[in-house]
Amino acid sequence: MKNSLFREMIKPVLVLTLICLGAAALLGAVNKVTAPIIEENALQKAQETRRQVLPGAGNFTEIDCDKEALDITGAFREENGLGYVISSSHKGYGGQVVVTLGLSPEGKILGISVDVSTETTGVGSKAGREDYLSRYIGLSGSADQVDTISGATYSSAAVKSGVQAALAAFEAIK
Amino acid sequence: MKEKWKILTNGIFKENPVLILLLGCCSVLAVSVTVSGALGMGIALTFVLVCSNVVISLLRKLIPDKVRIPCYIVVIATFVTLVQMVVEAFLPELNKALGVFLALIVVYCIVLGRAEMFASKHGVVDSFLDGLGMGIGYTIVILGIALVRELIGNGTILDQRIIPEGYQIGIISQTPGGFMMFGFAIALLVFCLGKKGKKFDPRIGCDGACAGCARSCENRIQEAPKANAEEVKA
Amino acid sequence: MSEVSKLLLITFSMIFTENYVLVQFLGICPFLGVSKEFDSCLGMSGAVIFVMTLASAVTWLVYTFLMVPLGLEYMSTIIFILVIAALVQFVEIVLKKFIRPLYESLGVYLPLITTNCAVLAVTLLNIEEHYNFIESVVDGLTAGIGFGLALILFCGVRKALERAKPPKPFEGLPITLVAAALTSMTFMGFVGIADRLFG
Repeated sequence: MKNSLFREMIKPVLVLTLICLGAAALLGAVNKVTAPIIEENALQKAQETRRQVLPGAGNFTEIDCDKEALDITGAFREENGLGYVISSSHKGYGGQVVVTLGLSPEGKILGISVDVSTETTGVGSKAGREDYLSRYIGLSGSADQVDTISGATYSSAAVKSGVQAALAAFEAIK
Repeated sequence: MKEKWKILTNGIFKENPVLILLLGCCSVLAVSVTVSGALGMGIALTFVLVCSNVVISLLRKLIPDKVRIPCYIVVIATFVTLVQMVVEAFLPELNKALGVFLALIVVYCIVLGRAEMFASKHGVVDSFLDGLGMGIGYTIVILGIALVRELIGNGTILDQRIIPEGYQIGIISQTPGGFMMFGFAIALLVFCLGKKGKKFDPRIGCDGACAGCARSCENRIQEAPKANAEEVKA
Repeated sequence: MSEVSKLLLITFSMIFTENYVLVQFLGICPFLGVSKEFDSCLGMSGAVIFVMTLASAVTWLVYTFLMVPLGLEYMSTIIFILVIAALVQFVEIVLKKFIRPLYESLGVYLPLITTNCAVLAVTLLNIEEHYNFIESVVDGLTAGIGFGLALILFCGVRKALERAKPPKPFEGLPITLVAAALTSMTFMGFVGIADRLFG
C-alpha cells in the first residue's frame, strides 16, 4: 500500500520537480554567461549606429525627455557639440522599422540609418537602401517632400514617420 | 554497425520528418526564405533534437509513465531556451532572422514525437543517432527549399547576387511562395517515387499535417496529459 | 497614437494584414489538418480563439507579476509552454464539469492546441511588442479570430478543390498547399487598406 502510494503519487511529482529544478539550474548558469554578452552587444550596436549617422562623433549622453509623448525610442547629445542622434520605431509591413537620425546642432539631417531586417525580404528592404535614404539627407524641419516607394509603401511610410517623429522631437528638446 | 547506420539514415530518407512524416511545416515554410536562416534553423533544431533525445533516453527508466509528457516538454523547452540564449549572445543576426520561430521549436511535434516514439524506448546511442538523422533530414529539405526561394525570390544565394536586380520574382520569398514551394517539393517527391514504381500518398498516417499526426500521437499518449494537469501546475 | 486606435490597428492587422496563418506561417499544421470539414473548422476556431485569449491574459499576468520581479525573463519560453499546457488541461476539466455543451463542441480540439505553435507565439509576441494587459488580450482574441477566419475560408476552398482534377503528383496535399498560396495572396491585398486607414 505504502509502496504503491509512493509510486502512484509521490514519485511522479518528485521526478517532475527534480527535472524542473535541474532545468532551472542549467538555464540560470547559462544565462549568467550569456546575459552580459547580450547586453554588451546591444549597447555596442546602438553606439555604432549613432557614430555611423553622426560622422566623427565621440561619446553620447542620453537626453532626459518624455519618449512616449514624443513618439521616439531615444535621444542623445554628442558630447563635443557635433549634434544630436534621435531614434524612433514605427510599424512597417511585417514588424518594427527602427530609424536612427543624426542631426546637426541646427537640426539638419546629417545621416540616417534604418533597420528593416524584420520586414519581408524583397518588399521592405527597398526602403532601407542607400538611394532611398539619401533623399532625406540635408533636410530639416520636415520630410514632407520625400515620397514613399511603390513596392515598399508600407515600409517606406514607416521610415518617413520615423524621420518626422525624430524631427518633431528635435524641435521639442533642442 | 549496419543497424546503427540504418537508424541514422532512417531520418534522412525513409522517414524524413519534413517530406514523409510532414512534421514541423510552420518552420519549414517560414524560415526557408534565406539559405543562411534555413541553415541556422536546421542546426538549432538538430541540436535540440539530439540533446532532448539523449537526455530523455537517459532518464527513460526514471520518469514515471504518468508524468512523462510534462517531463519531455520541460527537457525540450530547456534546450530550446539554451539555444535561444546562445544564439542571441553570439549570433545576433541569426536571432533576428529566425525571430519567434526559434522559440517555437518547443511545440514542433517532430521533437516531442521523437521523444515519445523513439527516445523513450531506445538506448542512448540509438537515440542520439535518431536525433542526428532526423535533424539532418530536416536540414537538407529546408535548405533545398530555401535555395530555390532565395534564388528566385531575391536573386541571391547566401547574399551573393546571382540573378540581376529587377529580374527576381519577389512573391516566391513571401508567404504565398512558401506554401507553393513546399507543395511543389512534395509533388516532386511523389512524382519521383512514382517513377520508381512506388506509391506515396502524403496524407497517409498524418492526415497531411501535424495536427492529424498530433492526434494519432495523442491517441497513443492519450491518458498522460489528462491525468497530469495537477502535476504540471505543481 | 491613441489607445483606441492602437487597439483598432491591432485588431485589423491581426485579422487581415498580419494574419497568423496566411501571412506569418503560424499554426499551419491545424490549418492544413483540420480544414477538411466545416464543422471541425468551426470547433477548432472556437477552441483556438478561447485558448489564445485566455493564454494571452494569463501569461501576461505571470510575466509581469512573477517573472519580471524575480528576474526570470529569460525563461519565458519554458514557463509559457507549461502555463499553456496547464491552462488547456484546466479549461478542459472546467468545461467538462460545468459547461457541458461547450465541452462537447470544443473538447476534441483542446488537446491539439498545446502543440499549436500559434498559441505559444501570440504569448511570446505580446511580451516582445511590450503590449499592456488590454492590448495583450485584444491581440490574443483577434489573432484567434484571424486564425478562425483563415481556417473557415480555406475550408470552402478545399471543398471546391475536391471537385478539381490536378496533375497526378499534385493530388492531395500538394495542390492544397498551392491553393493555400493563392488564398494567402489575397490577404496581401489588405496591406494597402491598413496603410490608408491607419497611415
